[in-house]
Amino acid sequence: MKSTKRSKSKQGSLACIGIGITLGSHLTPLARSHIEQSDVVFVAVSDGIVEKWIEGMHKDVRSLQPMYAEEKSRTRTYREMVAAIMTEVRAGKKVCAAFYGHPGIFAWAPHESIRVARREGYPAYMEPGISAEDCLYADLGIDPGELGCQHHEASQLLYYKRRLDPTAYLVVWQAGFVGIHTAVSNDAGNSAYLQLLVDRLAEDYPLTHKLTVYRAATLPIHTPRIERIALGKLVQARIEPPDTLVIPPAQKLVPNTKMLRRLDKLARAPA
Amino acid sequence: MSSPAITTARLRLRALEPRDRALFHELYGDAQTMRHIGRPASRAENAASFRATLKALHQPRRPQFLAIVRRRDGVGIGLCSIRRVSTHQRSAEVGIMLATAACSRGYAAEALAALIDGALRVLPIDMIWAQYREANAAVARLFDVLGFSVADGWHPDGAKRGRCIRIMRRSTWRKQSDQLGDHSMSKIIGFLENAGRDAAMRHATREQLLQMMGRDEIAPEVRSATAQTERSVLDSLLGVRETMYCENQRISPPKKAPAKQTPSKKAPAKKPPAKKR
Repeated sequence: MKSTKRSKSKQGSLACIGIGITLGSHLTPLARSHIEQSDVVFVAVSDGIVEKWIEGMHKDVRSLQPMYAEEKSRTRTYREMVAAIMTEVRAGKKVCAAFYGHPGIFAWAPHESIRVARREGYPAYMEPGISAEDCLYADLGIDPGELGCQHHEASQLLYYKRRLDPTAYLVVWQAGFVGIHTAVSNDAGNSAYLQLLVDRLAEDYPLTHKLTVYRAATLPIHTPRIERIALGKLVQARIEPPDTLVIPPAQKLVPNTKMLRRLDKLARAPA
Repeated sequence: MSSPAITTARLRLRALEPRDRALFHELYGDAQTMRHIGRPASRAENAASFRATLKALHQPRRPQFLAIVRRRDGVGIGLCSIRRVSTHQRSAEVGIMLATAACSRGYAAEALAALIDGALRVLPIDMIWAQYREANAAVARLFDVLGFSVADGWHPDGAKRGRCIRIMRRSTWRKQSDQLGDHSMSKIIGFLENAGRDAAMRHATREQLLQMMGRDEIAPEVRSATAQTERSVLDSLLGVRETMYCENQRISPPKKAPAKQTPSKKAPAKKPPAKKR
């Protein structure tokens, strides 16, 4: 009896997929196929129209959105998401969990669901999607290979001592939620919190340094938000949860003469 | 209309309360906000007017004011009102004022759509109307988006001379809402999906998009709302589920703030026990 139950539950599987950022433009054929071929589809997107679009692809699409609430701990929300997904996997269903952008970037629940599923012996995998970062490079014309590019989560910049490199690009994610670690999100975009972020960035960048407030377009007919503003004026700007800060280099690359000499020596050494 | 709070995706409309005095003054005392309404009121005039407005909330047939509060942070951003409820003409007037800082974000359409919905549900009226000065282009656009038509020849009780009068009939509002139901939703999603995967539409102008939506027989109100950058109007027209933008990863602070680094008093190293011989 016990073994029957166990072998039945092993039939379940999980695919965490990314649906990209822009409706209609970014969904890969593989991601669509996962949605269409699964028994249950969970969806976590921040755009009601995108959610409706996914609903049109499958008869059993369940939104994870209602799990968010203003007075509720995010950690609890993410755990509930994992629990909801795993309940169906354990019931032997082929589960697809669709997340906006890339399911593995700035997303705890997909990684955790896959970890739990694998630990319990279920096949579980992740399929990448076009992320906000991908859109950012395209929309702002930045090549991260040119001068380098650091990425940091805004709150982490405040909570911990991180070393910033002002000769490279710096992308600060989740600036609209900076410093908010309580359950309540009413402070999102609050200028007092933003001021702390400005103070931290001012340790490495002049206040006159221009940065870009960026937000990718979720509907194909809209344009992304691209707004240039001086670091010192950031507090006066309207920074909302989906906005990202892109800070270009403030200093020139400094040649590493010691290493260059060693490289030169190597090049001139007989083979 | 005695008004329990009305909630929209981003706003809460609730009856005016004594704590809204500052908001009231901010609106009626601001020259920019009042430029199409009348002379900005002094603080003393506003105080008296605010008291009278609060008192009127408990009197039927008097203008009913609702504070428009942003749900995200609880900040009052404007006022809307329903007044001149006429059982004779079976009509009522709506009005709205927003703080300058809250303009151009779709809040007005979101608030008014909810107010009209509520008014038509509970009041014995068949028509909602609004009046504004011809120079107020922003308000004219707002009523265009909401689907109001020009009142040709119809003159509501209490309308001021020389004002533009726009009307919305109950039947039109209902038809509009029905049209924007599932049928409209699937049409607009189909259109957006095509727009998303068609390279030719990638950089289409607003006019081209409107033309394409017309060809796809998308309702005019949805066309107009879709072409706007602000999303809330389209969302409320389509009845899209309210969504919260949420990060999917919570970065936690360290469990305990690190203690100040002070020169630590090192415990003297333990001397190894003397070997017993």
